[in-house]
Amino acid sequence: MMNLSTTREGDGVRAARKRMQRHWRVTALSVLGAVAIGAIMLAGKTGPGRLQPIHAIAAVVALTIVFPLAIRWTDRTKDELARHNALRANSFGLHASLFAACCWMILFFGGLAPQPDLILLTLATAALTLARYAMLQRAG
Amino acid sequence: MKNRLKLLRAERDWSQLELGGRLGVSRQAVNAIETGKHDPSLPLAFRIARLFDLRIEEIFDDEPIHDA
Repeated sequence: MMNLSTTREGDGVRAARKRMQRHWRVTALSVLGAVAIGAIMLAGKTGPGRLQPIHAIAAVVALTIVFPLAIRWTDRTKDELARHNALRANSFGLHASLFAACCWMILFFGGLAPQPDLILLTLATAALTLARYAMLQRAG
Repeated sequence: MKNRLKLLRAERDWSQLELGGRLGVSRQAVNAIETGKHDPSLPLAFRIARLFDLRIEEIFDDEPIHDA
């Protein structure tokens, strides 16, 4: 009788569980970081003068270092299917973002919508990309 | 791409999670390969072949899977 169950315990199962735990820990930390950055971007008053110039430069330098490290760190916990799905989700997010920005600009030029909001577009792109990635991973 | 992965796994009484752990990939990746939704990379195909002590072409067939 063939056993096609997905719960049998063995060396491979233990290794897989350890891998998944590491992946979810890193994913949770990354999502928390992204939510924190999003909240900081949207909180309080907006526009020029919200940050001291030196603080703004320090924040950009910190982000320049942290962002690629976080991407690399999360990438290392993914297998090839997850990396493939991440590429597909990123491509979907980019196309959705370009489409939304173009439509919003056209509506703005027609006097039908306020000026496009860069932060809103960025956060919406991130949310769409994450949702698409989750869908692809579930389908796998 | 057609393959015999599900059969080979069943012969060893391994779950998808067990095979994924031995190959260093997720259960979803094993499922996607078995159902032909994902073609493994060459390094992963070699790892699979080594694990089952077979040649790649004895596991994978380049004929596409057609949905009924």
